[in-house]
Amino acid sequence: MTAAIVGVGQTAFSKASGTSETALVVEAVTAAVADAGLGLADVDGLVTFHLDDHDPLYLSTVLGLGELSWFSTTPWGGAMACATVHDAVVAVEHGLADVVVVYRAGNMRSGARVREAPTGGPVDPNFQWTLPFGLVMAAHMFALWGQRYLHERQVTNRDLAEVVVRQRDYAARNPNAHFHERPSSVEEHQASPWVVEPVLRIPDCCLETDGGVAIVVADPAVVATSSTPVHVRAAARGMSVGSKQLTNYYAAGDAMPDVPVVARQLWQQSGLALTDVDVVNVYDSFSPYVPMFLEQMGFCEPGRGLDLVRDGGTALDGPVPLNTNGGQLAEAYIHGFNGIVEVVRQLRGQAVNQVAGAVNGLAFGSPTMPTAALLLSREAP
Amino acid sequence: MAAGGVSRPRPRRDGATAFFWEGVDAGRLLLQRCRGCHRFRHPPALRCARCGATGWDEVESSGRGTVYAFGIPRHPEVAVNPPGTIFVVVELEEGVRLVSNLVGADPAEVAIDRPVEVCFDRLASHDVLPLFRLVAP
Repeated sequence: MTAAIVGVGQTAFSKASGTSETALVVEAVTAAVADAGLGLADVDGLVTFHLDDHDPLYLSTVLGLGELSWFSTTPWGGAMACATVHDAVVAVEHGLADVVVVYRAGNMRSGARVREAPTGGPVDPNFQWTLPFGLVMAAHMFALWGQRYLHERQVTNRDLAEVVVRQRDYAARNPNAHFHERPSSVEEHQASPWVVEPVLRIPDCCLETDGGVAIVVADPAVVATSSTPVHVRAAARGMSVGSKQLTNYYAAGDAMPDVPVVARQLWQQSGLALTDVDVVNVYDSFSPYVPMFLEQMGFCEPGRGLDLVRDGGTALDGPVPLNTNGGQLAEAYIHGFNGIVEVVRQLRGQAVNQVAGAVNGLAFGSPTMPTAALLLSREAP
Repeated sequence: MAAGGVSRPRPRRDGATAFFWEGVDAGRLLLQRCRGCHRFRHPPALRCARCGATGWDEVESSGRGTVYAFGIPRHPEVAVNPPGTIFVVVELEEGVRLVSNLVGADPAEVAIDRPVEVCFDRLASHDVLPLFRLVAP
């Protein structure tokens, strides 16, 4: 592959931005383009989530962009964070566009909140077997899946505190993070209210955040950029047989069947292996994702995910430094986009919690639905 | 319906799923059984992902099963879930799993593998739903 991430940008992350979603998206996109050493006049492609209030048509209007030769939106929120970049990579690799900006911004805390659950009316067909039974929040849906993991591993919610404490430790040293200078403890975790008893407490669930992130994808051999390119070694998405969003109680209880569909493509495309990965950022809307993902990917033996976290395996000096920005649990919830930016910063050597000598990094979308991932490198293929 | 008249999202009746809800309307829990590989499947589909067969029979479940997973929603309170709501995934005797609610249960009594049986009620919905209650082992 020749495509690279050549620019990243973000707004402040907050609980109340005090500004419009338009201002957030413009700030993030402008910052990312400037980071690449480019101008808005260079942009000829836009990709975002279907959930974003500014689709490519409206953003091109707001920003007064020139002609676009590529645009798309991806479904299903955070699972597709990496798929937006995947769309941009496909466009650049095929010469369909030269400079594609991927973005996600919104007042996702001060505006509409996750607790504003759907009522009445026709149901999203993908949730038709759960919404009528009151599983209206993502936490409701995932908790039943997560409980099977806890049950089959013979652990409890208390064991999940290790995940939260680790990521709060990263966030405590990250000035961008909601929990900057606020580490946590197992005791604090266990004193927190339940969201869904006996699986998820409040700190087991991701933040809600106002903010925006943007990423610029281009071929550095074609487009003159001033930043250090982070090369895309592999970009893949996958949907398992019988895949579900957050509600796959029908597969084996502890399995994340969409993950291997993506993973094997990463290794095939790149020629790299799991042991080549120096830093990982996985979409973590709920804390059980971390050990479940570590096991499903093969970063540890089945059943050893929580042991790996507890033993420091996901710390900076561990074998799998993971969610080094604090993740969606402790830095911010920008639908997984901030996790991709963290991997880019790690590979540029610019992260707040820098993994020494990181060469290859993995960004992975939500492992509990059709998902996508990026294998990035500071080295060209 | 829940306090304030707020209803949960309503079941969807489409080409693959209408039979299920028509069964529930009649107080019967119907499951698809593939005519190709003779396996029960849920959620319903128009084609078997295992064998590719498009035919199926609608077979009434015994309504008996066990708790496969459960959860009690605590925070934030949402209007469609009145106090006492318990989410459950039931593993039916036929081998398929079904999302539902446990009714009439003390949360302290609920545990994985506890036996349950189906019952039918509206709960916080416009529609009759297949619900489950704990039964003696």
